[in-house]
Amino acid sequence: MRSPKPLPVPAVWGAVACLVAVSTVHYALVTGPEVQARLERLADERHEQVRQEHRLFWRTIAITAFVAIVVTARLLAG
Amino acid sequence: MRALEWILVVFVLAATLPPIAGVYQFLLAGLHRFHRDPLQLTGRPPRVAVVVPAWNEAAVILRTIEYLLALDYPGEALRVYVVDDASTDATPEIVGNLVRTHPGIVHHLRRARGGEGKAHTINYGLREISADGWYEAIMVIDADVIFTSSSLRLMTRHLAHPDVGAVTAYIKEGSAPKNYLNRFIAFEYATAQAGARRAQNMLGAQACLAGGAQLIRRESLEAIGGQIDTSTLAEDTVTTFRIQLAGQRVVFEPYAIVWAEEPREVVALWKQRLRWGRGNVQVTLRFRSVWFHRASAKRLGGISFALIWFSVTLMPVFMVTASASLIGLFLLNATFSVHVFRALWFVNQVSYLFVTLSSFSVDPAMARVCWREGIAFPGLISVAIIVWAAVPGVRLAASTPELLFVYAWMSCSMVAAYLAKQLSEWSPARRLIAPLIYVVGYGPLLCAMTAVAYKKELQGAEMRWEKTEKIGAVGEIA
Repeated sequence: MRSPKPLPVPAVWGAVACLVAVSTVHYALVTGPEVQARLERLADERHEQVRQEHRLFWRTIAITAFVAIVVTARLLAG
Repeated sequence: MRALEWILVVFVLAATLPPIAGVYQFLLAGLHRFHRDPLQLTGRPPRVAVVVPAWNEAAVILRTIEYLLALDYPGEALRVYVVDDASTDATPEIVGNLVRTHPGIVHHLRRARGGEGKAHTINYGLREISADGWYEAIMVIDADVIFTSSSLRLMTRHLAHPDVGAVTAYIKEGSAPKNYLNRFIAFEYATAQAGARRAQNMLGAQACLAGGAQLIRRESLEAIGGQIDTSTLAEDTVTTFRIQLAGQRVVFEPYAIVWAEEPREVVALWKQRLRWGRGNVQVTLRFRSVWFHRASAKRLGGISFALIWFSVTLMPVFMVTASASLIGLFLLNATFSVHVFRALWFVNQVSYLFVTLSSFSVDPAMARVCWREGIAFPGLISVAIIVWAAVPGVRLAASTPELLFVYAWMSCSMVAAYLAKQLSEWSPARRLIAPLIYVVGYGPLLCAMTAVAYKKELQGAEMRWEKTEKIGAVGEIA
């Protein structure tokens, strides 16, 4: 029985190199920017939520101060 | 006689607990930015099985599922199981079409015999899908709710923390156009959800996973038996308590917005809230070993959580006892009664101002549409009393009929709200209902519903799951 002819080593390495090159180019041009854009969008969203919670905090301080002023004024008025 | 006066004073001052609880909650809500940040930007989203119990939901089910399919969530990590409770309308055909157009994603589970209620329907679905090891979390929703694009993603990121067992969203009233009752409900939800649930995040104890959006980790569900409670009318609250008592946290995600269609008529609202009210009474009794037992029940057993819980469930009792005690004090010592009333009303004034402004602050978009209903929430008569008692120079004269009216109004407002509900069932009077609710107050209407819920529970009235009819009134979602 004849043994199968081994693949020429340069061809295997060439195929692997092509695969790696295509994957790298695809990641650099498509997947990478997509992932990056998604991460940026999530970071923006997160930043916006943190900002809104920050605003809520300061609005609560302002409302507390306003109510305290109204109550004090009323008490002073007798 | 002196001892009796002081007992009555205690009853009157007990009525300051609900307004104090209101202020306390909004102070905590304002500190929500210091809540442990659970946000994670990366990581694999968990596989979620959305369970949609449906009984004759032809008017709404298509849109609900279309929005679920359009969620900003990986398609391979999402499956939708419509659990059809033997619907007799076009629900099976609509869902069948969706199953054909979205094979492997939308699934139709149909019960041969239905009508047992939402919890039984959910349990049927859970039994069917639990054999499959695919899902890592389930999301139980209502058939009429509309999930905004990012909502599920915002909710699931909390599950990255292993101690979080369940997550709930902010259910907003989404009817378009909104009538007066929808606007009152929208304001109520901003207070009871966007405000109160932020506060409960801070306390580390949540009262309730909103029925329309309950995300539960698989292990947490299995830890409580893998099934939803069917012995009460508040299965979502029971689930919430059991998960927390099993040692897991329940979290509210304020930026996960879910739109829901709420009742447009007082009669429909009454039916819905009677169910909720009875459910709350059942939960209060069932978990009686939890209250004030911090050692065994952790945060659920804390004083703060009990203050929040009982200030809602006992509100009618506080109102009636305060009112009756003030009248009793008036008969014993009219001048003294004025001083006690002033103390109570001072707390009410501060609370009204603080809670109303804070509710607008937690949801400014709601405030732009519903500010009138926010102001009129306690009723225009009560608001007039608040203003009248706050104006400098106004002297509350003893032994006047006005004073007796003011004392009695706290409990009479509930009776008036009850009469408004009775009147709403009489069609010639329908046009009067909206102005009546503004005058009497939406808050007293809720209290009247709670009081009737007590009565039904005491009478041992039959527990029936009375579905709130939905017509698909939620407006366009951006």
